[in-house]
Amino acid sequence: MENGLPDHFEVVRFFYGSDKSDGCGMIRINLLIYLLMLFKATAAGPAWTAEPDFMSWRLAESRRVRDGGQAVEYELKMPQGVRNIEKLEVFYVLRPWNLPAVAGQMFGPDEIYSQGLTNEADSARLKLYCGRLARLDLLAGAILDGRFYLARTFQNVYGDSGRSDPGSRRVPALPDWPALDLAGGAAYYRAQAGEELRFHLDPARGAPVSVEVFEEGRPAEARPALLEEGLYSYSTPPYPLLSAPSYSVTRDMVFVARTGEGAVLSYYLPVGRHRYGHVYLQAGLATVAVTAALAFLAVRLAGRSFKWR
Amino acid sequence: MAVTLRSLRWAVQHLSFALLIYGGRFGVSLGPALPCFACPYVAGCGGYCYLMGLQGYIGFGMTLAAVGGPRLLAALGWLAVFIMLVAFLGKACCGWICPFGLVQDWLTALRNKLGIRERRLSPGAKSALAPLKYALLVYLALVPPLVTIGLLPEDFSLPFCNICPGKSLLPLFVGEARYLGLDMNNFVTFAFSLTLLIITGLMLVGMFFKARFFCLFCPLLALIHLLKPLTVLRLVKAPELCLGCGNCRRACPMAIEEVYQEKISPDVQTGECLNCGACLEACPTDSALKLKFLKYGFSSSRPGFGGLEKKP
Amino acid sequence: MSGPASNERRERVIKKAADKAALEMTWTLERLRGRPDRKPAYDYFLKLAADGLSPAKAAERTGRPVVNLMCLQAPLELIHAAGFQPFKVFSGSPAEGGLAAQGFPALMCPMLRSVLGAVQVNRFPGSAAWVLPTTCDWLVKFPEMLKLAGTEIEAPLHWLELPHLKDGPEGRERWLDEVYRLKFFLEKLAGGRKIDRRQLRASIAVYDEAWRALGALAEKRRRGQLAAPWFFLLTGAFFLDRPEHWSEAVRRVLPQLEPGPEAPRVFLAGSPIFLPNFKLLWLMEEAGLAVAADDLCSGERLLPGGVNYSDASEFGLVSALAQRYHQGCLCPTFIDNDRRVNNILGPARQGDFKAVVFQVLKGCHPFDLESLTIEGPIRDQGLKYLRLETDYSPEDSQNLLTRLEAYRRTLGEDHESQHRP
Repeated sequence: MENGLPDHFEVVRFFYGSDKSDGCGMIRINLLIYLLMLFKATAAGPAWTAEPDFMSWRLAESRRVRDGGQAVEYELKMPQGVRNIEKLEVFYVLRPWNLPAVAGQMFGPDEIYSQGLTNEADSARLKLYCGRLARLDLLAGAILDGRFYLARTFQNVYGDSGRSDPGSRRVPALPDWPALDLAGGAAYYRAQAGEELRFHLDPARGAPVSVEVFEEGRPAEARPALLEEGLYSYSTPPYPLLSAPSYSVTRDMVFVARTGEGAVLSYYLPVGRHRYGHVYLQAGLATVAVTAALAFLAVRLAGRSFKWR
Repeated sequence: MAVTLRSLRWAVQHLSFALLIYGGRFGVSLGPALPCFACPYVAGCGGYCYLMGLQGYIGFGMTLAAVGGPRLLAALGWLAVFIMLVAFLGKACCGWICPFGLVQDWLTALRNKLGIRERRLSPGAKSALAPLKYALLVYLALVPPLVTIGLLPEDFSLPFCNICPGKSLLPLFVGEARYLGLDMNNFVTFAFSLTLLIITGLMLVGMFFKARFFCLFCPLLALIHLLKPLTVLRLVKAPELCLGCGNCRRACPMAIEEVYQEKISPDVQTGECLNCGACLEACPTDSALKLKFLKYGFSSSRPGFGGLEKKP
Repeated sequence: MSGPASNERRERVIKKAADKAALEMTWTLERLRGRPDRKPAYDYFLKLAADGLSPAKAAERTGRPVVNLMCLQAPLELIHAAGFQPFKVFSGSPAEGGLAAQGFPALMCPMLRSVLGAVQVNRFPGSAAWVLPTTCDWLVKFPEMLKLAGTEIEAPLHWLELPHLKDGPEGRERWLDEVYRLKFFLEKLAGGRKIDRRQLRASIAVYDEAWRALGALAEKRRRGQLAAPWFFLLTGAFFLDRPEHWSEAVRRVLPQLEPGPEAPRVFLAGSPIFLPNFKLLWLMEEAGLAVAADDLCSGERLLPGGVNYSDASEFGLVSALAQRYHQGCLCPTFIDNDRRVNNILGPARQGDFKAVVFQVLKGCHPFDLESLTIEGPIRDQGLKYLRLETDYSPEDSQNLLTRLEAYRRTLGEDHESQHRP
């Protein structure tokens, strides 16, 4: 790998899911690496899955900046008792069409990039900038004492703030969720009313999956419909690219999806759609149609001087 | 059934389309330096069009900090890959590989099926439009650095992608219509998207009535032509064998006159040539036209006229 | 002189010429039949020629009304698509030429003189129309000459004004106009039935196959497997039957061919050679020369062929035909036809032949001049060149033979080194 990260890193890359509705931010799943990984996992032992204590991270600060993007600062806390962080890496899933910038730089699609970490004793702070139209899907991992720890938390920083609701959307500080059991892997996404979420799950090793919903900080009733919609079907192939059950968010909620015990984070929650997207699409299609009609007329008019009929 | 140049090219174009539009879903990643419209806006694409890389890696991405670090090496690396691909494939990138080219060829096939006549541009109109592709190339090279140094807002970081009809049309093949919508985030995105949609409408009509209409404006065609001295694949003529029948001119989707007119020089690879080989198939004279790659290649021949090998 | 007596006399003269012309054909065909390299597949063509070079016969055989043509600029596919059989009017008969000798310039195109005689002999009844391009002076004066000869063309006559500048868009446009006018004429002639693009495509395919068959035939001749007299019999019979039948018959000939005797090979250029006037061909054979290739409009250039089109609309197809028959035509009548000589120099480079024989028919000015202008480039490339001036009469045969034998001797010196593919 170009960043000089250990090979475990490939695993992380591999487990990013794909979602056709969200553009080509899909990480290139290199089949060869996938195979290598399987081999590695069985041969070397799933060191990356066995750790019960994970880093956690929280949003320490978030503020909107002038162009509508977000500057966020995350604090990553190491597991209890762990010191001397050797290396902390943050991995991004990138969206090429709205290439986010980090600290004023742009990076290309599918790059894994890390920057701006300042280490303290048992935590690190990470400053990120997420462009207005950008999306950062974050996963953090650390190499400590020669071992690689994976932050099981998985987060989407949706920089699209102030789009059509001035001053309203922002990624809130994530409160502690003592009720959440982070063992076994979980990630959460805070959705806002009006969004539509599509779930794509990458079934790892056949472990079951569940989705829990928390409304306003309290566990809500699990919605059986979600569970029944095949979110946990693990028949081959491993990447059900075309199945994406969806769910409409009616109020502010947090969705937590878990993988089964021993399985690594292996799912992906895509971003919701813009509330008024369909109107803009209709306007756009109308623009294309009108232009095409005018052009067609022009061609016909020009053809009136055509003498050979 | 004989394999003709035309059917071979049709097959390669379709394979390339499948690979470049859907390949990412199957693990194919040909990198971000492809010399054709393998649009990154297509989810699951098999590689990225280098015009984005030019705007991004070389343009917008080249901050001072980047120049000093490994990013510069990466950017130059991809540039080298691009140049190498162009050196080998030359304009075959346009005529054989480009997915957007195939979309245009589909429209042409539809038009022919419906018996609607092609509208060719007059030579005067063609030569007036020819510099536009170079102007677009300059535009896409010069605007992103202005974003890097802060003179323009970030919405200008991909100035060509924002107006490229590939962005609006190619994602339709994976069911994505979002780029056919207006982008109302701010005035700049609105202006870009409106321009894109107007261009899309014009191009749809143009590409239907004239073969490869978009290629007249394509900055990638211009860029590949600029690299002509490095290109191995060439269209070559033996003017001493040419009888001036004009078949090549009639067959050419870009309505190039030079292949037909040339009486002295063997080099007939002009700026707009797509290396599609249509002229070869239309030429009824043995070995008058060749599409050469070093010492290999295709040659025009009387039995091979029209792309059909008939009984000797 | 007029009156029943002179008319009677005239009738006798005409009959005498007709009989003589028939004999000329019979004699030529007999000579062909008696050749040792005769193949069974030739019989079809021999029969066609024996039945007579007349539109009436062609109409009967093809089941289509016939349109008479001269030269080769009118697109055959267009005529065919309109439901007609194109029929190229020519004559190679000295007897017919003799009939028309009186009252016409001494030095005129022998071929047209023969045609004038043929018209008087009434060889061309039964055609629905005539289509004539304004290729050369003699052709342009043809109807007036007919009047002088006391006959007229009764069927409708349509002129195609041929732009002599073909290497530019203006000439193309003017010719396209002419082709469209021809299209309208043919549609009217066909009783108002429109020529649509489906028919055009079908006709293009038919003549494409004929062109390919012709190319295959020429290739055999290039390899020394086909003697020139047979080649010109086959091409001479082209318009006598449906083109599909002709193509099939040619394809049947190909596998029967075998290599002939070794002989120095030459490229035959110049004015066309028509049945039954194979004088030059017999003489060349007698002198020991074989024809490797030719660019005669009655030979290899019979069909421009190779009609490609990227635009399959009706306009695209008609344009394609118009362009191919105009720009693809190598006749020296054009002003800007300097690439014509590549037709000789190109194959020469490939070693198919090392010498050129250029036939000029006395009175044929374009070819006469051409014979002088191409000599330079041909000699510059190291080819030998022989210019022969002749007409339809057999009187200069001995003279020609002597010259050809001498020519052969000069070639014989490096015959051993001559490359045979």
